[in-house]
Amino acid sequence: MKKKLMRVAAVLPLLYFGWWAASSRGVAPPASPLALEETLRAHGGREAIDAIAAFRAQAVRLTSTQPPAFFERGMTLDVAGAKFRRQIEAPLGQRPQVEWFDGQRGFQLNSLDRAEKQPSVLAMNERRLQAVKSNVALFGLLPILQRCAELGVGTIAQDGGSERFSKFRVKTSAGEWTIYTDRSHLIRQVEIGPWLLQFADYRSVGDLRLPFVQRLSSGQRLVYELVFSAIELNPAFPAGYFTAETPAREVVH
Amino acid sequence: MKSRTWLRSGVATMILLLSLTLGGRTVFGQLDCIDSCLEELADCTNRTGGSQDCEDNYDRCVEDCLLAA
Repeated sequence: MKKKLMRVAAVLPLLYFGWWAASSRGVAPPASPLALEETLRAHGGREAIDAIAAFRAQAVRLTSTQPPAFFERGMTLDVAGAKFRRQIEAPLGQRPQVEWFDGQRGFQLNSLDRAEKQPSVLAMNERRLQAVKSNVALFGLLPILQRCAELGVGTIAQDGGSERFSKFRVKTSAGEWTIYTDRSHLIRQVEIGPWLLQFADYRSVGDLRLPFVQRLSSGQRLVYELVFSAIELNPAFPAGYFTAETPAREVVH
Repeated sequence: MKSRTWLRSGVATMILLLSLTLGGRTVFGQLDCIDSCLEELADCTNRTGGSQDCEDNYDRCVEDCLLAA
């Protein structure tokens, strides 16, 4: 019995190491530089993606609590280069929260202070600003495509995937991502660190093909689902739209 | 006695290999983070009977968990 245990103890680590070495994190087949290009082309092409300087996306976010419960929030995200402005509302539109980044500093305008009947504008602390930036970077596929289309981003490994999906890894300025595409080269899943993003319901938006449903999970747990209602490419934002005064004035009126 | 030593070192090796493989993935840390948001939500709901503030705070807490992405 003891001998058997000894053998098992010696063989298991070897088996495990063999499995690990054969998996995607071990030796991967050589990367095809075409994988990323085919993917970008399927979504409209590098040129069309590079032409997007700004966008507005509206969605309902269903944040999972204890399944099957969730909280619903309406979200509007406006992005122009590094600047962004985000409005979050409860289902009936009460007490909107507005957050924005003017390219240097982040601000938040909380619900109206009932005592003074004035909105309060607060500077975001660095940690909160980084969290909001992370969320903005994962709001829909467009920011992910833009990151993939940056100069210097390439396929670093291509794995077999499955019958349904091709799988490859890219090195971006935000780290290494694993991308799963379907037979049409449309992105269906992206693994970013511990997060899994899944995409569905592709539609044409201008020259691009973009998904209107997105799920974000960690492990087996759904964190939230986004259902987009509109995505507008290169909208014209009024002057001062991303500065501190404008959102406060708009909410008051 | 010898077999016990082998068994221990085998288990230790497996734990080490598992840790190395999972090193770049902090799924457990993220889930812990979201669990702590759920606890805060439960506290808030018990305290206030449920409110939009509880929901907003939970939303914000979950967003903060994404920071490590």
